[in-house]
Amino acid sequence: MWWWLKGRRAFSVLAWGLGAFAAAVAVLGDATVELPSILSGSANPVLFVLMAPIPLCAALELSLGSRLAEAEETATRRVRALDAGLVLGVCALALAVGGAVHLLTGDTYAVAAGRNVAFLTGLLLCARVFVGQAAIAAPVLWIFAVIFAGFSRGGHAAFWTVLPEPNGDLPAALAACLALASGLLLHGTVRPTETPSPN
Amino acid sequence: MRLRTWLRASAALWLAPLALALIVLYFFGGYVADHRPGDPRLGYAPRTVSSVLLSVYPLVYATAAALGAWESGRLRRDGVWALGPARSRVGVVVRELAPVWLLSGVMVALAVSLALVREGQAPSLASLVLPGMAWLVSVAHSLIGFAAGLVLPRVVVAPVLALAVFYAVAAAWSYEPFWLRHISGQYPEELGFGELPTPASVAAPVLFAGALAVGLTLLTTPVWRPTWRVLCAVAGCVAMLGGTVGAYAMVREWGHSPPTSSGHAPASCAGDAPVVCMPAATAEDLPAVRADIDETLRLLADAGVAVEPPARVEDRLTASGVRAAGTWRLPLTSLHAAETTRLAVVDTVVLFPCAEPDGTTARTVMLWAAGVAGSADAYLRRQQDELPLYQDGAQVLADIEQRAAAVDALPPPEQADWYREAVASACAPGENAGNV
Amino acid sequence: MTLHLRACTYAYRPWARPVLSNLDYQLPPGVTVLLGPNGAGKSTLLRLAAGVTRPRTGNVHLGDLPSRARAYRGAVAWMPQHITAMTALTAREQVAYTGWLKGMNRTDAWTASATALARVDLADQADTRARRLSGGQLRRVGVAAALVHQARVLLLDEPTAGMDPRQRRIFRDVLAALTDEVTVLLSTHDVADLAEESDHVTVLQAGRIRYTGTTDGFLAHAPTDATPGRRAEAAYTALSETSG
Repeated sequence: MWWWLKGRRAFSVLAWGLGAFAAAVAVLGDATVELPSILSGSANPVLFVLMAPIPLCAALELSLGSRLAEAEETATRRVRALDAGLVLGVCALALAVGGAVHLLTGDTYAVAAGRNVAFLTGLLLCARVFVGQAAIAAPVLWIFAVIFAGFSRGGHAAFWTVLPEPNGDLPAALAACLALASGLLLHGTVRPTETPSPN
Repeated sequence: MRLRTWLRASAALWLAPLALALIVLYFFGGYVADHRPGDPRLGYAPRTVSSVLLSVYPLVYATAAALGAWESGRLRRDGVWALGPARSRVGVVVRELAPVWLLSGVMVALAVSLALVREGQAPSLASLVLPGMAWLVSVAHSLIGFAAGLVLPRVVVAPVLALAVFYAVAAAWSYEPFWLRHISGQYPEELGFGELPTPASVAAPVLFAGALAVGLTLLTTPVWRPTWRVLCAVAGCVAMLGGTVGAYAMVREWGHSPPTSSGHAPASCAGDAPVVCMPAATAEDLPAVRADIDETLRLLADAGVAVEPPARVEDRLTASGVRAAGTWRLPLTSLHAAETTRLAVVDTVVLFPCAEPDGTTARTVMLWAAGVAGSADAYLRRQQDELPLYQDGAQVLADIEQRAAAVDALPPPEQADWYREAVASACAPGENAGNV
Repeated sequence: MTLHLRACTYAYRPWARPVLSNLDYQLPPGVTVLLGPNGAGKSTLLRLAAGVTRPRTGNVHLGDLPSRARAYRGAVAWMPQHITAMTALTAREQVAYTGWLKGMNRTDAWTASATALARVDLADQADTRARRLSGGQLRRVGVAAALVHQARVLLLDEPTAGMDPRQRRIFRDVLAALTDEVTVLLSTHDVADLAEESDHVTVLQAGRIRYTGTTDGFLAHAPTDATPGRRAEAAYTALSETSG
C-alpha cells in the first residue's frame, strides 16, 4: 500500500493541494468580491473562498491520474476501493481543515469550504469516467455557473448552487454527500472509455 | 497541418461554443438589461464598446490563460519538445496558441458587434482601441498560461488560472490602491460622449501583462548552456519587474477613474458673442439653444443684473482641454432636452460674493432672476425636489415665493436695486449664512 | 490450464466495425508468437486475454476461471504496448508495486522485484526514477513487472520494441529460462526472432486467425527459394498475400 500511496503522489501533490486549500480558506475568510452576473446584469457579492477547493480538486485529479494502468486494471487487489478511500480521506481532511479554521477564526464559511470540496470532488469523479483528465473542468464550470447565474438580483443564492451556502446548511450538506456518493459509485463501477490501439 | 485539423486539435475549438454562449448571455443579461440608451442622436461607438466590454474582460482573459496552460500541458504530455521539432520553438508555440488567440478575438468581436448592432452604430477606428487592448492582454494571458503549463501539471494550473484570473480581473474595479485597478486589463469606466481612453490608460495594462508574459516565457525557456540559462532567468525577472514598475509609474497618480481624452466628437458652432458650440449630432438644437442663451442674457441685463457675456458657450459633450477665459461649459444638449437652458444661464450669471450665502435670500434672488428669464417654473420644480429634504423646507419655499412675488410687484428700477442689495446682504455677517 | 477465447467479438465503439469478430482461439502451451499487420487486432486480443477488456460477445477463460475472476488476474501477467512511467516511483518500486497489486505481500514483492530487474539486466537502474528511464529501459521494466509475480500466463505486447540486439538476446534468454508451466503469448513485428523464440505462431489478420500452429508449420509456408535467414519473413508474407 505504501507504493500505491507513493504512486498516487499523496505526499507531494495531495499534500500541496491540502496546503493550498488550507491557506486559501484561512486567508480568504468570508471576504466577498463583486462579480458580474448574467441574470442580474449588475455585480453580485461572491465569496472569494468559493474557489478555494479548486487546487485540492485539481490535485486529486492529478493524484488519481497517476496510476500504473496496466497493472491496476489486472490487479487482484481492490485498487478502486483504495482510491475511494483516498478520496474520502482527502474530503475528510478538507472538512477538518475547515473546522479548524472555523474554531480559530470564527469564519462562517470555513466548514462550508470543506463541504464544497466534497461536492466538487463528486462532480469531478462523475465527469471523470466520461472525459478523463478534462473532468477538472466540471468543478470549475460549476463555480462559473454559480457566479454567472447563481444569484438573484437581490444577491440571494439559488437553491442549486450549494457552494455559497454557509456552515451547517443541511440541504447543501446533503447535496455534497449525494454528489460525492455518486462520484464514488461511478468511479468504482464504470470503466473509462477505451481508445483503439494502433496494433 | 490543414486548417480544419489544426483547429480540431486545439481545445479552443471545444471550448468555443460555451465561451461564445457566455458572451451572448452576458450581453443580454448584462448589457441589454442594464444599459439605458440616452439621446439616440448621441450614439457614440467608443462609448458603446467600452460599456459592453466591462463585463467581458474577465471572461476573455480567464479563457485565454486556462487554454494556454492546457495546450502547453498537451504539448508536454505528447512529448512534442522531446521530438526535437524542426520548426523553431516560437513557431510551435505560435501554431499552438493561434486558435486560442482566435477564440479570444472572436469573443471580443462578438460582444462588440452585438452591442453596436443593437445601438445601430458603425464601428469607428477609435472604437477599436479598447477591443484591441483586450485582445492584446488576452494574448499575454495565454502566454502566461502557456509558461505555467510548461512547468506545472495542466490539470492543476489550468483550472486555478481560470478562476484566479477571472476573480482578479472582475474584482479589479474595487481595488485600492487604485494603480492595481488601472493595470488589471479591465478598462473600468464607460466612456462619455466624445471621450476616448488616453494612450497611457491603454498601454499600462498591456505593458503589465506583456511584461509578465515575456518574463515568464524567458524563465521557462529551456536553455542548455548554464550561462545562457542564468541570463534568461535574469532577463525574465528584469522584464517582469521593469514592466510592472513601468506600468505603475504610468498610473500611480490616477484616481479612481483613468483619465480620458475628451472632445473627439465633431462639433458645430454658430453665432457670435457668444459663439455657441454643440455636438454635430445635435446641431439641429443649436438655433433654439442660441436663442435661449441670447435672450436670457438680454433679459437679465435689462433687469439690472450684472451680466458678463461669455465669448463662447460649449456643450460639455464636446469640450476638451482647459477652459479658456470667457468660455462657459454647460450640458447644452441635455439642458435643451429638459427645457432648462435659460435656468442654467441664470445659474451661471447670478453669482454671490461668498461661498455659502444665506439660503432664503439666495433662493429668493434666484427665483426672481429665473422669473426674469422666463424659467421660474423650472426653478420652483427644482426647489420642490430639494427643499423637502430640510426640516422647514416647505416654509422656506413659501417664503421665497412670497418674497419674489413682492419684488416682482416693484417697478423695474427698484427691482434692480433690490437685486444688488439682496446679493450683498446674502453674504453679510449676521445673516443666517449657511442656513436653508 | 489453457487460456481460451471463445467466440469473442470486440469493437471499440458500438457503431464501429469489430476489431475481432467471433474469434475462437486457444493458446497453446509454450511460447507463441502473435503476428499480424497494424490494426489486425493483436493488442486487442492480448487485452481480452489479460482481462483488461471484456468482449462484447463470447468469453475468455483460463481453465475454469473466467477472466473476471480474481484468481484469473493473479495467474495472468500483461505487458502492454505502452509502459507507464510512474512519476513518483523508482524502477524497482514500480515492479514491486505490480507484484503487490498481483497479491504478493510487501516483502516478497520487494525481493522479487530485484530478481526480476536482474533477469532483464536492469539491476543498475533499480533506484532510478521510472520517468527518467529510456524507452528501451522502460520496456524492460515492463517485462520485469510481468515476471515479478510468477504468473502462469505471460501476455507481452511488443516486448522487444526499442531494445538493442544485446537486450533482445537477454530477453530471449529470459524466455528460454521460463519453466514449462508458463505459457507465453507475445506479439512482435520482429519476424526474424521467430525461429529461436517460439514454439507456435499465430497470424492474425483483420480480426481473424489466418494461421495458428507450430513454428515449423508456419515456416513451411515460405517459398522454397527463400533465403534461410529470411524464411520467417517469407512465410509471413506468403500467408498475408494468400489471405489477402
